[in-house]
Amino acid sequence: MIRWGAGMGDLGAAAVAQCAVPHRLASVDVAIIATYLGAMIVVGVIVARRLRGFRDFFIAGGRMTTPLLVCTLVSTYYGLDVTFGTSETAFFEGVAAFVAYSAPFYLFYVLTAVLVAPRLKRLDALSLPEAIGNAYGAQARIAAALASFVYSAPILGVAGMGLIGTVFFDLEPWQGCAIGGAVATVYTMLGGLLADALTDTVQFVVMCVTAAVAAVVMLCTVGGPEAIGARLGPEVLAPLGTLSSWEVLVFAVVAMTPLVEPAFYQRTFAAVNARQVVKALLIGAVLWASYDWLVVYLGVAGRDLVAAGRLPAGLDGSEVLLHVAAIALPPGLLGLFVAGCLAAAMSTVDSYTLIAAGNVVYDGWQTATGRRLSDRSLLLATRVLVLVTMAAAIALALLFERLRDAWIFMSTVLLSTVLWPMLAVLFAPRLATRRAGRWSTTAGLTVSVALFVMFEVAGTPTVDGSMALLLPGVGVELQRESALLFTLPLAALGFAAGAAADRQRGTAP
Amino acid sequence: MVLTALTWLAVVVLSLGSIGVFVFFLRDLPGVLPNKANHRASGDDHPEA
Repeated sequence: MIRWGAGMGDLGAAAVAQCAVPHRLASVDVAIIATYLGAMIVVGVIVARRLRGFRDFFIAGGRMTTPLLVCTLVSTYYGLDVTFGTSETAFFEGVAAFVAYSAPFYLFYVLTAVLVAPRLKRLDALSLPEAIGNAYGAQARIAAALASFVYSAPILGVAGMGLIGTVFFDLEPWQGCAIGGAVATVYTMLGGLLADALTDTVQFVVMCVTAAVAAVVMLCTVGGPEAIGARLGPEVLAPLGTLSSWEVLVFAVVAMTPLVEPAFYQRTFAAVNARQVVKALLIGAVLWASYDWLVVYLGVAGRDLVAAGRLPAGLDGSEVLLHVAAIALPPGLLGLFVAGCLAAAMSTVDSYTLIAAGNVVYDGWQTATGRRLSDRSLLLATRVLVLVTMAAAIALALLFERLRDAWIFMSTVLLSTVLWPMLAVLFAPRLATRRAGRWSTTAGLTVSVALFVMFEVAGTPTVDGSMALLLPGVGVELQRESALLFTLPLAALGFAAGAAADRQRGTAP
Repeated sequence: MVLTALTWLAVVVLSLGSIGVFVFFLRDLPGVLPNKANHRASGDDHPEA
């Protein structure tokens, strides 16, 4: 899953150009990173020789068990946007980054595990749009495929790889994006979800272990959170920091994304059975919380290092984790840490590229044309679309100055389009009438996209770098971050109106 | 010192947890990989499209 932190606002080309090189990599570090990248491609080649068709390629033949699901879920959900974004939020807000920003997600992970996964596994589908289409028809499936494609285009992960290339290898942003994107594209095109999941297992271990080692070094060097709080002031340890209740509410609403997360849905369909997914999500929630807490702690430790003069005073918050790691880790482990950062980015990029490609071919093209492709054509077309999607993501990653804006747009479109229809399919199938789904997906998709176009065309900049829009006739000023609070009720209204219309016409089930 | 204890706990859970999950994954790996002997590009075996 993708989450945003304030750091994603600074991952654009302009901010990347300001990055200082925190540490020169030793030869052993470069060798570790090169070995890691080479190993990813080898996995893709090995898996490609064993694939038997589209089902193997797109949902790993439905053979995924709990350990593999844990690895792929944790590493896919934890991209660079979250890693850098959470540490930056902690750098500025202290432990509130964990309490207000990360914690709501755990509630929805658990709800997803207990309530959604078992129901989802009973559906006869390979993707989120297909589940929507089976209940509401072709129009709803195409709208869901478009929303899922917008959400899954791996713009943020690709931009994160550009940042790593700039900070550690002195590359231009486009070069880092292109190298990381090319490796992820090759093994995803070759081996599909299975190659993606197998590489995720290595990426999962690397990112977890390096974060743990960096935390141990910092605990021994600067002490625990209480010791840092005693030096920096109690506000560092305040549960909600300086966040307003409005911001906390927006975080809580955005935390609902696991309920309709395309990558989670794909892995549920790929699991051997529902029990394996439930166990994986519950174990994953514990590991997510541990990883989140350590990243928050490292962000707070970075603030302490700045106060102590060991890091520059004007440090960009999005770079804090890289600087702390450069101080904490010796040669060898630093290379592993950079590989871990690449792993966090690539595990997200490969998964979402595959989903986005599948959305276009499996859900979009087949539904729109009414032509059922042969298994061989489906496989070939999805592989080609993986390449096209990655190329588009690299171009968009370099285009956006503020990638946080891109993330807000992506998550708002997904939730507005599919949340209510999908919840109805899972929990209230009697309400899931054709018009209800059609009207809700169409209204959610149209209004959320139109709203963001209006923000760009007619919005006024706010002091915190966002955009605001005066809603005509209502007299209410809507901030871009709060657009979801407007589009979600509207999509609910569309769903209710469609259900009422079907009942009136006697076409409800 | 609750937060410090929690940080150490997170270190233990993350390092041991990730390695433990990886070990279990290695145990399951043979069943996860498609059987190489049966490899062939089938003509039309996806369930519904």
